[in-house]
Amino acid sequence: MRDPDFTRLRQRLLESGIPTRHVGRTLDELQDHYRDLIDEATCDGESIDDARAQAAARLGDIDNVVAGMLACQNLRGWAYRYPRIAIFFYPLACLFALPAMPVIAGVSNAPLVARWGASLLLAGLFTATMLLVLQLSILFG
Amino acid sequence: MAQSNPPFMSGVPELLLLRLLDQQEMYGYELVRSIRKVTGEAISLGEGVIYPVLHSLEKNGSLKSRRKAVGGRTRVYYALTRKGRDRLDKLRSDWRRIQGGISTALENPSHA
Repeated sequence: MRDPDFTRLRQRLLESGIPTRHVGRTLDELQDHYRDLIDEATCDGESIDDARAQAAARLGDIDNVVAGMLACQNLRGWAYRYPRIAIFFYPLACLFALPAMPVIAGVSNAPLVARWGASLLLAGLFTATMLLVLQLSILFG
Repeated sequence: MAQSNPPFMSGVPELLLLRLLDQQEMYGYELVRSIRKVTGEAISLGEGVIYPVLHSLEKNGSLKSRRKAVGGRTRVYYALTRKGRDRLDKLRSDWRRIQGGISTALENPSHA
């Protein structure tokens, strides 16, 4: 007896617009439930193979889980619930977000940017010092 | 083995879940067992379908959940909120009204 195909379930839920975090939680709960059903059957004296077969049958067809998820519109990502709005909103959001990208990139790489800035400052100070020494040597030389 | 549930059972799992969670917090497997027990196995769910219902109820604020480590496993326990209690009251009164109507129709078919 094969275990329920949780990988396929994951794939189908993601394809249907269920957010990743929610899919992960659903799978965790279903897998726990499946283990509980196996434990229950083995406690009742079933062999492990029979226990797995019974557990899979009781858990039901994964297509029904997918159908149940899709029937609950509030579980789907908003872009799947309102595709027409998403078609307009996403390009607009990208357009407005574009100028902010360097700032966002800077904030997310703050330590790197700080090191780069400090290096530039040191290089500038070194160059200025060298030029000053050169100027002074010309004046007093 | 309980019979499979007919299409008009739509909405019944929600009512039962809210009713059971009104008494105490439970996790999915525990809820399914309780449903089988309290309904005398008259209602048998494909057990996986309970999670979409639970998640949807949580999403609309009728339930809240918390993770709890029990026996080496992390369970997600669900509990009823104030909004869930209101929803349960509404579903219960709807159910009683429908049940009364159907009973009347079955007992007095000439008036149906």
